[in-house]
Amino acid sequence: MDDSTRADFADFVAVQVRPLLGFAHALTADPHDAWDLTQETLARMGERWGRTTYDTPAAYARTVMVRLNIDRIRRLRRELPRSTAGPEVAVPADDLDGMAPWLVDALSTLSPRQRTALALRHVEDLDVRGIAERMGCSEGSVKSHLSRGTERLREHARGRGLLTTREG
Amino acid sequence: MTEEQIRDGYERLDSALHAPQDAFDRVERRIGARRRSRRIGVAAGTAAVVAAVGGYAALSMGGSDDGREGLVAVDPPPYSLVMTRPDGSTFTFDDLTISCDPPAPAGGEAGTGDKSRVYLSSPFVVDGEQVTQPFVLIEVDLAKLDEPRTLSLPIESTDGSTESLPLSVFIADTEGAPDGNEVVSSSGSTGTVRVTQASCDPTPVLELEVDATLASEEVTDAGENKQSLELEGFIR
Repeated sequence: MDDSTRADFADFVAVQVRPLLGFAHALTADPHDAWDLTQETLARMGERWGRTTYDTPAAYARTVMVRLNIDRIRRLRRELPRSTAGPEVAVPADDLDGMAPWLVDALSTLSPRQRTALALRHVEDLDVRGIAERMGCSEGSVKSHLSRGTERLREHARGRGLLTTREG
Repeated sequence: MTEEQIRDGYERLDSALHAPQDAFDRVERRIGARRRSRRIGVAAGTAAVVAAVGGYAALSMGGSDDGREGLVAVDPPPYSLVMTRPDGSTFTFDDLTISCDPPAPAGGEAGTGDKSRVYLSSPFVVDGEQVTQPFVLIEVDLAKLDEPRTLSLPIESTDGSTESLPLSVFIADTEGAPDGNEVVSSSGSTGTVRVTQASCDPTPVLELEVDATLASEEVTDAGENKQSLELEGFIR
């Protein structure tokens, strides 16, 4: 990678690492897995940076991340070195109150595909068709993942007293 | 629980983590580690095959005689795999091994051999991080190549990874300053690979024909792509 390409990729990393990390957090529900997934995604992008033209590299990076997380979750865990960089890597910025820590806890009980479908729905704001395309599965499967995943979230919410009941 | 509550939770989740200050350096190191593990890990995996199965049905063919000299009618040679550089120099890959154990990361344990992939590789001889003789690796996903099929290069995945590819061809060459050259069957490559048989049940089998020009993954100090390499031959 020549200096110009390297600088260009460095800019991409600087801008995208935070949102990618957030997306990875939603996909994995684990801070360290989130950083591993983010790092691996950026490494895959970096290997081809300058040799492959991306129309929308940020969106492509999310596609890479989703595929890595869905299709190779077990392989990823075996291959990727666990973060050895200490607590400064991908640690919680704050002690989150209310919804977010509860959500992390709840997401950890979902299957990777359920987490992925929900993240694409609520973080990427994709509809069912868009989620199906990104995940490489049928719209029916997406609906199932969304339905079951949401129901799991609600079960946790009930246990935490966070459930909002609508009357009428 | 409303959609708004869930979405609010995701928005807060999005800002819950700090990326490391040296994120870019870490990513660059990860890229380097992937490259090294691809080299060194393959060697570890290959060695494990030999140790674990004692060469059972793993195709191991010593010698470089291609059987074409002389006029005695003999069975065709079981393989011929030749790399050609742009300057016309060639290297014949000898002592090829076929195994079903996946490569292990550098320093990691050998693969578990789930028989989902079959690997063809040459001896891996390395000094530091650079090979001292050309090295070839052909990796086939058995689920995606369970019947004869001809693949046209480049062979690329939608996510840039090699794990989801039906087949990948990789060569590490000694030539290509300053630290050798690595070519793969992805972007920029041309030609075909025809896989006629690939299996891990009950023993590792891989039969194929290749006629390809493989593009380099690396660039020179001047920022230009290193040279492509031709790979031609067959494995029976």
